Amino acid sequence: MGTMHFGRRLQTKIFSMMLVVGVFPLFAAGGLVSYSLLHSHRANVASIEESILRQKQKEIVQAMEDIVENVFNLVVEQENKSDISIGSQHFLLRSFLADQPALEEVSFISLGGQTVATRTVAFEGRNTLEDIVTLEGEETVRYGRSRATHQPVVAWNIGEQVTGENRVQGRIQRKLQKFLVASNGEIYFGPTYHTLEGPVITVASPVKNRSGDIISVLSGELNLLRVQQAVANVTLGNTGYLYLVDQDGFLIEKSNGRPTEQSLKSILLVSDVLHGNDALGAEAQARYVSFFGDSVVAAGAALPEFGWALIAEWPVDDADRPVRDILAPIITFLFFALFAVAVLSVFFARRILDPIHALEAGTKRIAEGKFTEPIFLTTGDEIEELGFAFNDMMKGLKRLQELKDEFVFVAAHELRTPVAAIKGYLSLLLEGISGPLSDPAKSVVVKVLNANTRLIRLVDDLLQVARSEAGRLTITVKPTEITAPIRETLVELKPLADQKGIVLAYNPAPVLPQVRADTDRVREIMVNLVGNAIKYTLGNGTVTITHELQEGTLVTHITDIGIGIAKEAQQKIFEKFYRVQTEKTKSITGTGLGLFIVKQLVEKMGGTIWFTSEEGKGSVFSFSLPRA
Amino acid sequence: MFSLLRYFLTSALCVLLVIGGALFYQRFFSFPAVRLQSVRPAHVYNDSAVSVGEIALRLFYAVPADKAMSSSSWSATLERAARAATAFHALQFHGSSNIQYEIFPEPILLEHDAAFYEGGTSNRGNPRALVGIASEIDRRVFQKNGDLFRDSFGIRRESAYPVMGIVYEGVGASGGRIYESDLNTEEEIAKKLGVSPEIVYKVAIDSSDGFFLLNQAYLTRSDYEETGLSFFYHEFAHAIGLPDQYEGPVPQRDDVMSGEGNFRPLRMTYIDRSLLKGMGVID
Repeated sequence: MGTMHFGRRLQTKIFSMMLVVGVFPLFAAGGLVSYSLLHSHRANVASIEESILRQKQKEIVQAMEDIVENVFNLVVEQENKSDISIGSQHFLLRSFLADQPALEEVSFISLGGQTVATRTVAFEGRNTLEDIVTLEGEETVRYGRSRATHQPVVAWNIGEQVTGENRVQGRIQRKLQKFLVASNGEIYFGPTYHTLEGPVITVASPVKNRSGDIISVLSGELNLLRVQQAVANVTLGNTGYLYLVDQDGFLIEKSNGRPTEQSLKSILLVSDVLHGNDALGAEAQARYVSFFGDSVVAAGAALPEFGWALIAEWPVDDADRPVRDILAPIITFLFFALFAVAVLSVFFARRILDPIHALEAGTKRIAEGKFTEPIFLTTGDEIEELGFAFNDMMKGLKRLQELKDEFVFVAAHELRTPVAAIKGYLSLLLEGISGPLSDPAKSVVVKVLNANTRLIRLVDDLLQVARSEAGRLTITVKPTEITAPIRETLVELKPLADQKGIVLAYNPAPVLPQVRADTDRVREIMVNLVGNAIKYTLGNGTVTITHELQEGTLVTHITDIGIGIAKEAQQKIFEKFYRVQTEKTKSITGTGLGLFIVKQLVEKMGGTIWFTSEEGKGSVFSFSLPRA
Repeated sequence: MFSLLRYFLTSALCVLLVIGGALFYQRFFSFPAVRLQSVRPAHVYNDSAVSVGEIALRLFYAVPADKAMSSSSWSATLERAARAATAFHALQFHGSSNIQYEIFPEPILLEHDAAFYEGGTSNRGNPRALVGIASEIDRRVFQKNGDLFRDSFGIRRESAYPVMGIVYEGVGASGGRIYESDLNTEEEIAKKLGVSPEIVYKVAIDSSDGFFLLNQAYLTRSDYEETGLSFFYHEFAHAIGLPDQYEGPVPQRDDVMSGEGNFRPLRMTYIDRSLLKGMGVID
């Protein structure tokens, strides 16, 4: 009978089933919720950033428009196309500076060919007045601010700059972009530059008369205080910030945290926005580790008319905190559920598997012929009912076993008398009780006698087995010299050994301890073991009997150099009716009960029996008996 | 067969879960770090081979033999000018160039009268005075056998661009680079550089790659209070190669290189973007 090992498949199946039924849907739901939550949160963050950026973008544009409206939209109340007089230029520039704190410097630039003032020139010993005619793009009057009082002061005045024969020219700006754009009727916003007092931008606009003719150009340098104020102190959440960069990526203002003098243009988002592309909305927002060291969610709004980019960077620790607060328990719960399923699956698997293991053990006991140990299952369900049925089956099998044993015992017992009688008569026939037998008749009788002898042995063995299983085997153990029954056995088997040319070697130590054993049973054991050794040694050889003292026991080894036992047969060698069936053994007769009986006898005397064997090299059978 | 298919499907599911998880993480929780370009050191105007990432400015107060010091607080004046120029320079160059300045602790009492250095004319900012005085300072301060040689003065890193600044008790405001040249005459050098021979001078100065000179009056007179520091920086800027921004004799722009008589205060001026591009500060 074979056994099969399936590992722990059922437990794995239970775990997998619970995983599939319990955890996967939970994870799927959790994943879906998390994804939706994060998606929604991204949209919210983008919306907040966009809202603030749009608001600040509007404030910045408004700040710039205010000053353009108040200063750079100058229309002079005159009809003719001549330039504004120097006096009026002084008045206007002084007024602009006085009214507009954002203006750091302001000047008029002539379109050229205009008489804006006169100067006194010494000629041939007398002074004469001479018109001062401007050049194209020449700066006529410029006002700045006093550092001490911050009040308007003249920085340049074409009428006053007279030295010697030639008047000093103002800056000639006809090739500058600001003059070209403004003299063409457009408002010019120059690139931002950085002064020690802060960032400044150049603005220039056409000056028009009432008819809309361009008569001059007004140029001014604007500090960006209002723009900076619009950006400063803006906070997104707790730690988010805004910054405004100029056309080269240099900071104009940052709302909080440390600034940097380095260009931020190499940040992809900043570069994109500087190219005039807004980065607003969930799809456009970017996530990166910013220059300032924070992992941020960033968005940007372009201010292309000024060449600026307004960027919002919101550290994710802050921006994502709400969603993390929600996701953390969800994720924790999911992993707790996974852990719980793992633990519970083991628990439930044990609940299901324990009774199955008990049933499995019961079947093994039955397979071993043990019908006296019922199984006890208390699951309170169908498995418990299966347990009862199993026990009933065991009782039935036990009864069948008893009947079979009884039958074998009775049959063997009843057979023994006639076969013994047959043996007697056959012996008498051979001895010539009915006259001398012819050789052919004698040969036939000898064969019948041999067959009868095997039959008697079989009947004896069956009786022995039946007695053993019925508990009727009588063994009387007492202190015994083990060498005596062994020697008797060797004497008995010597003819058989001689017949096969096998030497029986037995040289026990002069003094051996006595063992507790039944002398007849020891002889029976030795007959079986030595007989087997002789039978299964093909050709010449030696069967050696030795003893070994072990703790509390005396071990007897029977060693042969016979055909040995194949590995697959070794596990079954002590089973009832088992015989090794190979090409080499098919001619050897036997009942298959010898080793079974030997094992029973040894164990009933308190010993154990074992063997080692290697196919083709021989076997060593050993049994121990307790010392007296 | 069925078993193989089942294992394949289970493995595929696990792989999909892992890939899905990784994509999910990538989408929501991973952040690429911004890699800013490292700040490139600025270079001399239109000469990318000569770095001015670090400038070693050595300042001197020079007094001709026939003149007296106009102020006892010359050291404070130089300190104020150097500090302002350093701050302005750092702001304009956005970290790509920095000035480390050092003021010679004693006034340089020159060996000759003012007329010797100025040569009777101070046109173009008196570059002759600059050349003469700078050569004398180089010999007396930087040569080991010079009478004003000090072990501890003028130590600089090898990579620093050395500039000699002279605040002069006399007429002048000029500056320029010092080029190594194998040519013999100013005309040859001017031709090679593509400039007027009038602005080329032969000098033998080893201690500096650029130098400038400024009349001390620009830093001390009240009428130059707002613009004197702009003059100072303007002349210094010539020492790192920046040219004047004039159209003919007339300044064009509003930046610090467009001065010539109507400078803005240093606090309100700047370096034009075209010049910064020429020095590799911006693209």
